Amino acid sequence: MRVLIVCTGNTCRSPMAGGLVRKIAGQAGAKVEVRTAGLAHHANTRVAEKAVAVMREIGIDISDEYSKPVTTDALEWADIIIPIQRNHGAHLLEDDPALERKIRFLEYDVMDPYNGSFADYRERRDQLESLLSKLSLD
Amino acid sequence: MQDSVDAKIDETTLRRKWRAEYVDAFLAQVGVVKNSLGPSTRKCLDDWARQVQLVEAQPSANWGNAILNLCRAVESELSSMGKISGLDFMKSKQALGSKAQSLKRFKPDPSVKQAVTNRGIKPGFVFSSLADLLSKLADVRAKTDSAHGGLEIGTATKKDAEEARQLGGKILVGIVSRGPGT
Repeated sequence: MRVLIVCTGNTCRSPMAGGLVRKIAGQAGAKVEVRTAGLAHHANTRVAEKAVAVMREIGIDISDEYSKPVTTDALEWADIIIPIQRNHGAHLLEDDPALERKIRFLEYDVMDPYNGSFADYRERRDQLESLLSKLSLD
Repeated sequence: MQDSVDAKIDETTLRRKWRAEYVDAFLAQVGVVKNSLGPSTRKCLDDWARQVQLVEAQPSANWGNAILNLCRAVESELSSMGKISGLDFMKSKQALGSKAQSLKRFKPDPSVKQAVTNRGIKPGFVFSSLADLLSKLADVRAKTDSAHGGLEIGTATKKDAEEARQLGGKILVGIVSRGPGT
């Protein structure tokens, strides 16, 4: 199963979600490949340090992640696309309504923690873990 | 099933409505009548609003694509002005900064000034202020990654996008044709 997780800058939420999906799938014995990307990415920029730090607290290393754009190639590659906010999914669907069969919306939007405190990042991490645990990746 | 289809239609309609209102508010603010813009410019402005819709209230966003689409709207309207004999360089593939330089060097003869006036555009604006405004907009575009496809340069902030919006507004209101004799 190939999973693409999409947010805005691909600096915080989608990289954290990527690490969490790998962990959740690993615990379930499921085989997944995960990529992450941003609809308004920052070229040549590494993931936010606070995102790396709060993920490290739960034993997940995302320090190698960097901001990447959403590409046609990535959208085609994916079996499942997870937008972190409804707005992200709606934006993709406007470009290509056929993506509907791949997109899995989260129960609610996880807001952007960029430039926030460690507490903000932990809150978003925990929200993502809870939401992604409920998501069917079949 | 029908509910789901209706919900999707509503979401798409709402998103388009938001963009139309965003563009209308911008044009009203700067004093441009939407119908005086060419279809290509209007499409670019919708693309601009679509990018804003994506990155608004998203602190981690790169505003580069919003700036890029606003620049495209300006370029589209400039190319319309390039139909005037002598101002052909306005519709060339040159970057905004190069067009600004070409305009700065250009010495308009009375027939060109008259042709500009005939389109309802003030020659005083075109041949004195426009080059500087285009240079400034080109600078905003160049200092962010919006001129380079997001490959090498730094990223664009909301503040950069606001600066581009103000410059774009001043340019558009000055170059949009108001028709003959106005």
